[in-house]
Amino acid sequence: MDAALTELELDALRELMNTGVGKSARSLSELLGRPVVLSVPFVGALDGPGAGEFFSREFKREASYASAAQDFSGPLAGRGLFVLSNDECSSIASLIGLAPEMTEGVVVDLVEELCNLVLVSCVGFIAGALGGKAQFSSPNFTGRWEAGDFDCASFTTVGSEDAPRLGLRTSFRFKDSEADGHLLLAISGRSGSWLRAGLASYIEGLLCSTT
Amino acid sequence: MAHDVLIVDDSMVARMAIKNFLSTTGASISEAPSGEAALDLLAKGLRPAIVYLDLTMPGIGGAETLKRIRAVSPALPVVVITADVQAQTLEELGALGVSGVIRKPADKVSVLAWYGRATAG
Repeated sequence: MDAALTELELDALRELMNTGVGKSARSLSELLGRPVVLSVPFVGALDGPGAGEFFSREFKREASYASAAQDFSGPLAGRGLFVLSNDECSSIASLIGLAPEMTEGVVVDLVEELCNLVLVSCVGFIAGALGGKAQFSSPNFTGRWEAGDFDCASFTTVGSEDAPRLGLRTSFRFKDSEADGHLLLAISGRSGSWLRAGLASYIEGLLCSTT
Repeated sequence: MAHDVLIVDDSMVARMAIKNFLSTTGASISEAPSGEAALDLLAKGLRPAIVYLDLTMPGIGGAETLKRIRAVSPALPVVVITADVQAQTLEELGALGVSGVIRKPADKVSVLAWYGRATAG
């Protein structure tokens, strides 16, 4: 799918991700009362072995993470993974008034809730900007893991006959914290033609805007 | 009279959109894909009436670019275009001397309003 997207279309998709994540960051910041610092998004082809490298490039060595996955469907279909540094979980939990003792149940609830907040806001914006509407599954906690053990294959398995073809990733951190977070999106191959048409129309709309 | 405008954004699409919004003004548009490139243009003598500046860019980013512009051009209108509208981000931009903020995706009315304001005097 990526091969069929022009540089301009990839640029537009990156810009949409940037805007979508900006909206997510605002929601996150308002929920937690902490400023969120965003990184520049990246868009890339998912070509088998390279997918793991693409998605994990910004993970810190030696760091451990907790994550939740959420599927989205409709014309823009795929899977998102919200990844949060383990170090950040307890401080966030206390910020939003969750139990001071970090039981596994609290971590699961927290990461799933943040995944839902960030992913729905970001993917919903991208789908909407391209003239579609995304539906979302419930977020599912996918465990705690070390940076070197990132299981890209299980994340990107959207369906055995529907391998993802395009990946988007962006990173964020909370101000005054070294801990990091990441939003990874694997876009399904079957969204390719819709995505191309939507991006072409989006770009045309930008360039022909008269209002 | 044609005014110079500088658009700073790593996204070509975003730059094209702003450029298109300004097409009826007759402005002479310069584009920079990074803060470093923008500062280079200004150092080489570009004197825009207004700068439209993206916040989230590779390299030094929009906030640092604004800071460096302000060090040499305290009165140059600089409007930040960003999706990051967190309260603290806006406060920090205010402290750095931003002239205004347009939320992404930018709209033509806001872009033209800032152009009109910058070139009115």
